[in-house]
Amino acid sequence: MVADRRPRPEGDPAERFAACEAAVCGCRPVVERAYRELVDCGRPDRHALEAATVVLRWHHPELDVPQAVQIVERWVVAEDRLH
Amino acid sequence: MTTPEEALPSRLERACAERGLKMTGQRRIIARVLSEAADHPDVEEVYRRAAAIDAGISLATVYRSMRLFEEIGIIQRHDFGDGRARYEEARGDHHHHLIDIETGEVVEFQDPELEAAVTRIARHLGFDMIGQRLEIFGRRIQRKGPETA
Repeated sequence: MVADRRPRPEGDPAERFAACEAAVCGCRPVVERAYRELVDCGRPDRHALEAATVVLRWHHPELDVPQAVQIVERWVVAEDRLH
Repeated sequence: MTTPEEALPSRLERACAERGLKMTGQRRIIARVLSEAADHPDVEEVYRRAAAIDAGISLATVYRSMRLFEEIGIIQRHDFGDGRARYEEARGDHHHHLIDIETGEVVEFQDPELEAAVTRIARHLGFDMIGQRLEIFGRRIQRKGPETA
């Protein structure tokens, strides 16, 4: 049986959001990889962003869609600037 | 607000740069519009979207740029039988994607049975299929190791 790594939607929402933003849970490289690989496969940026948001929300079901989109956009823009 | 010059280069802009195509501001906007299109816009639709970003863009500029993009192979022209040429970014073969939700790995796949199935579904609903998008999100199945005594 594989452990479900998804955090439970409990605790202070602001703290959970901040923890996700700070990438302390380790989901950021996963989200960035999904986005990058989809873009490299030729998917439109918007589709890759939507898919990366699904990935983030699987790890953080406590985030609502606008919050998740906001985080993903910030991460992938930051990643793009590095390359 | 981010201007087109300040925004990150779109995939099409990067493809143009790789082919040595000089990118003017207006050409950059047209490339961005095409890169972000999730449909198959015709030239006039691309013009409408580009003009919403820069009102100075003319239909002639859009025509010229798209002909250039097509010539260097970074966009594809489609004819869906409505008398209008429609365009999308050239992406080679049609693939679907499976995304490993735990690692972010993206696996490309093709499945003729799936293509046939969605074509059949569209036809059953009274449509000719002109496009589709499938993303599977999954977790890798953990295989059990050999039983130990």
